[in-house]
Order: sequence, then C-alpha cells, then structure tokens
Amino acid sequence: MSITTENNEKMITLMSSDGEEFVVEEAVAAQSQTIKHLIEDGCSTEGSIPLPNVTGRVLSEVIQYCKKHSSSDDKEEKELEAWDAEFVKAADDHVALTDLMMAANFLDIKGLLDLVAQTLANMITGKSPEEVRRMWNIKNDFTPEEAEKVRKENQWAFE
Amino acid sequence: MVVSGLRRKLLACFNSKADVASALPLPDDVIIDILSRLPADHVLQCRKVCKRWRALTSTAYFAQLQLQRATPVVLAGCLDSENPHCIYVNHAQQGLLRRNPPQEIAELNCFVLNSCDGLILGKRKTPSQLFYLQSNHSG
Repeated sequence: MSITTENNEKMITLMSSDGEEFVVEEAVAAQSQTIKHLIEDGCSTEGSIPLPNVTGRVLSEVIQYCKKHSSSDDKEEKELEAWDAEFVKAADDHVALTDLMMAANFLDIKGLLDLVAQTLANMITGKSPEEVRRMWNIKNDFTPEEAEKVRKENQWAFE
Repeated sequence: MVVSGLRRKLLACFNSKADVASALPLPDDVIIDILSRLPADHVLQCRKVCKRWRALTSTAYFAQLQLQRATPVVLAGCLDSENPHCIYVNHAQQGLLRRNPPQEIAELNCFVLNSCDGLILGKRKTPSQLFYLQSNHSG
C-alpha cells in the first residue's frame, strides 16, 4: 500500500511478525537498506511490507530511531548523541538490546547496529565467561581438556 | 492473515519474553559485530565462552575488524630467540601509541624507534635488542 500525505511525502506500511501495521514515510523506512531494496523491488506497491523477523514492540522502537535520524540533518551532532544514549538506556536490559540488535541486523540499519553493538560490547566488558553465557543462554561446549587448552593459550596475556 | 508454520515458530521465539535473550542463537555476524568492539584482553576472555565464539574470534577477518574498532591494546613480542617472551601492556597505557618516536617506555625499559598503524618498532636499553609491538591480540 503506497499512499501520499498532504506534504507529498510518500508513505509505506510495514507489518511486524505479530501482524501490527505501521505507516511511515518512505524516507524514514528507507534508512533500512533491507526495506529500501524491498521498495525498489516494488514490494510496497502491493499492500504492506511484511517483516517476519521483527515484532511490533521492536519495530516501533526501530521506527522511533529512524524518524529521529532522518529528521536530524540540521541538528547538532551532540544532541543526536544524547538522544541515542537515552534511546539505548530506555531499552533497559540486554534482552531488549539483543532484540534490537537482531532487528537492526536484519533490517540493515548501520547507525542503529553500531549503537546497539557498542552498548552490548560495553555491557559484557569485564564479565566472566560464565556471566556472558548466562546473558545469551549459551552452552559451554568445551570439554575440561579443551577448556584447559584455551586457558593456556590465553594465559600469557594475563601474566 | 495466514501464518505459516515457520512464521509461527519465529513468532513463538520472539514473543517469549524470558530472562535470557531470544531463544534463537545469535547469528555469527551479530556476534562478530559485538565482540570486535571489545579490547583485546576481553576478546580473549570471550574465547572461553564456547567453541563457536572461539572460532569466530580466531579468524584474520575478526582480527582486522577488531584492530580497526577497539581501543588499542599493545602486545610486545621480544625477538631475542634465546629468551623468548611476551610482554602485555594494558590498554590503560594506550597513550603510548600516540607518542612520537623516539620515546622511552619506562615500563618496558625500552625506546620506541618508529610506529605505523599500531605496529611499533622499539629498542631495548639493556640488553640492547630490537623488538616489535603490535596493537592486536592475534599478532
């Protein structure tokens, strides 16, 4: 579905994995390289663009980010940085940030990807391997012998 | 709306708001993107997490990406073959990288002769010998 607003802005409709629809300006949505390519391929002319990997909750956050960053050309970079910092702070925990990261990865939005990846990197800095495993539900698949080998490999760096 | 089986599965994964992040494993490129922003000593810690993380952080591609992104960390390799050893310089001393040569690095008892792109050529005071430093964990 492709409609035009009074300001002559072309609007497109995005549909989340849970069926929620979002009507956004094409210029805002096209910050996602994935959506940009879908628009170029004519996907937006036949109803909404389905995004089966992104829930409505996450998609609304992504759109919030894209709106801010598409309208901020003339804004101070510092203000945008402060906005970004608040944005990731609002995401609250690593679960929400990981969802956001997966969406930014799928939608291919470089700025958002950089922002969230750096936030997650800061989060795991200083955490033990066990704490990191717990964050992402990762199974420790090293045998005790292999774990010892990895420990020895890295040991020199910590002496 | 028709919801396919795969889509329903995806939905189930994404909608379960559990204590841990999405039940789907993190894709390789997402893991690489996050870990390549860590300082080298933390990358080494993360190698202990699981086999996949270890493999992903052990490639030349990862090392290159990490070198571009992360806070510089300096590793010193001594070229004296009779007494081979490595010296680790904490990233807290990253200021070293910005100094113009020749500079004395008191901690290592040596002089920096030249540096380029994180690679540093230095000279030890006693015993006199050349060595190199590289701001890369896989150097």
